[in-house]
Formats: sequence, structure tokens, C-alpha cells
Amino acid sequence: MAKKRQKRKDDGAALDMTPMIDVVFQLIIFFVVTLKTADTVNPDIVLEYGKNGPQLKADEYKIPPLTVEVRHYWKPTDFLRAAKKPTGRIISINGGVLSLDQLRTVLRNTVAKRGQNFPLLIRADKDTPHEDVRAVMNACNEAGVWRVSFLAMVQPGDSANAKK
Amino acid sequence: MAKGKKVSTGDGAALDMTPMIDVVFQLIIFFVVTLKQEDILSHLDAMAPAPDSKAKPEENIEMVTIDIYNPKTQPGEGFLFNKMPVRYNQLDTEIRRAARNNKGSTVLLRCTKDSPHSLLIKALDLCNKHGMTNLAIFSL
Repeated sequence: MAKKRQKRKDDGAALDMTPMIDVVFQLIIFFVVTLKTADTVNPDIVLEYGKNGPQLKADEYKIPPLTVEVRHYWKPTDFLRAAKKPTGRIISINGGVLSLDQLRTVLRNTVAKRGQNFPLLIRADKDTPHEDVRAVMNACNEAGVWRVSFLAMVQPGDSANAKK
Repeated sequence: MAKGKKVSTGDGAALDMTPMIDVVFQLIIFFVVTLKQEDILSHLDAMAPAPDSKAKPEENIEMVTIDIYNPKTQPGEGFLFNKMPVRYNQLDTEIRRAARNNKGSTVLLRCTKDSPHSLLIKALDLCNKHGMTNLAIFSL
């Protein structure tokens, strides 16, 4: 008697989606954990080395510091073109360019909101003339901000400092 | 006759490792591509702590003066230690000597308007190195 030919079921070709779903969840968790908003700093600033200063740590300050960036431009760069500013002294906070008057206002408002004890870090380019840095320091003085420090480089990472 | 018990070959429980290995490779590639080393920064204090009206100011007669100027406009490396032109290495030695005498001495850093910020940072860094913390920054 001829054997009845069994109909082949499609079960053998079924794709097991479990590992794929596992991986997708892993990736989602990874992205959520490591998601960091784009760095909003002036990319043209190159810091001078200062290996003997206390190392800056993320959890060092009880009150989060305010970082003011200052650089003098003799030639236009992409950052300057994007900011639509002429060459000269450029002050910025979180990548947003401010005039000296605007900086004074920001400092006054910050002092009004957070008090005078918040730390202020000046991230100044190494070639910036002292008068530009002094302008920022004077603005701090006027607003009553006294915890002022200069940022320096201990060890460069993959930033502009490493490239230059 | 009793049938011999078949030993399970374990084939049914075999785990297909291929997708897992694929994913591990994907993750390794992702990490290698996106790894970005952060800069390690330090901070050099520029201003003294807030004046406390109750605390009496220490009378410190000893003072060290470091003048910082633009080396492009005058000869030298941009430093004067007590009005004497010095190189960076000499400045290091002089500050060390001053710190050995009295770490509490006031270091007066006087910068010309056009002096590059890098020189001020270098001088502040040397002061930190030798434990001179009583600093005052002035502009000329």
C-alpha cells in the first residue's frame, strides 16, 4: 500500500522572533540610558593645560555651575557664521551668543533666582586677550558672583582640543 | 524483553547562538563607533571666597607679584616675577621658593589687556602646584 504523502506543515519555516525582540529591548534601554543632548559648547575654544588644578567632577558642586565661554575671533569660523556675529569678543552660554549687557542680565537673573553662591566657570580660549576675560569677570563682580574659576585642560578627549 | 531506554541526545534543547552572536557584534560595532572620550578638565579659582564681614582679614605683608604681558609685543616669555623677566621654568622655581618661605603670601597677578589668557592659566596652575592659594588678579 502506498504511503499517504503527508502534507508539509509551515511550522518548520516559522521565524522565532523572541531573540529579536530581546535585542530590540536591549537597544532601546541602551539608547534611553546613554541619550545625551547635543553638546552645546563653543567648539572653537581651546583650553590651556592646567594639570595642577583640582579636577572637575560632575558631582563636585552641590549647586550646578554656570559656564560662560569667551573667545576672541580674528577670523570668522562656522560657529561665528552660524551665530551671525562679526569677529571680536564672543561670549556664550550653552552655545548661545550673548552681548556683555545680556550676560549682565543673565547673571543678575541667575543671582536673583539661585543666590550668589552658585559656581561660575569661565571657559576661555587660550589665545583670548585678558581684557575679554576681564569683561566677563567684571560682569560677575557687578552681579555679586564670587565663586569664579577658570577651566583648564588636564587631559584632552575627542573634542576640539585634541584635534588642535 | 524490556526496551532499552534511549539516551536523549539533547538536540531538542539546543540553543541557536547565531542571532545572539550577531547582536553581540552589532553592539560591539555600535560602542566602537559611538565611543567618545570626554575631556578631563580642572578648575583654577579666580576669585577669593565671599567676604565675610565677621572674619578679620589676615594681615599678610608678604606679597609676590607676577606680571603677565603679551610676549609678541615685548621680549621674553610673558612673565615678570617681582618685576624681573623670567621664563616659565624660572617662574616655577620662583613660586616654589616663595611657597617654601610662606604659602600664605599673597600672589598678585597683574595682566596687561592684550596678554593671552593661556599665560594667566599657566601662572595660576603653578600657584596651585605649589599651594599658593591667596591669589588676586588685576588688570593693567
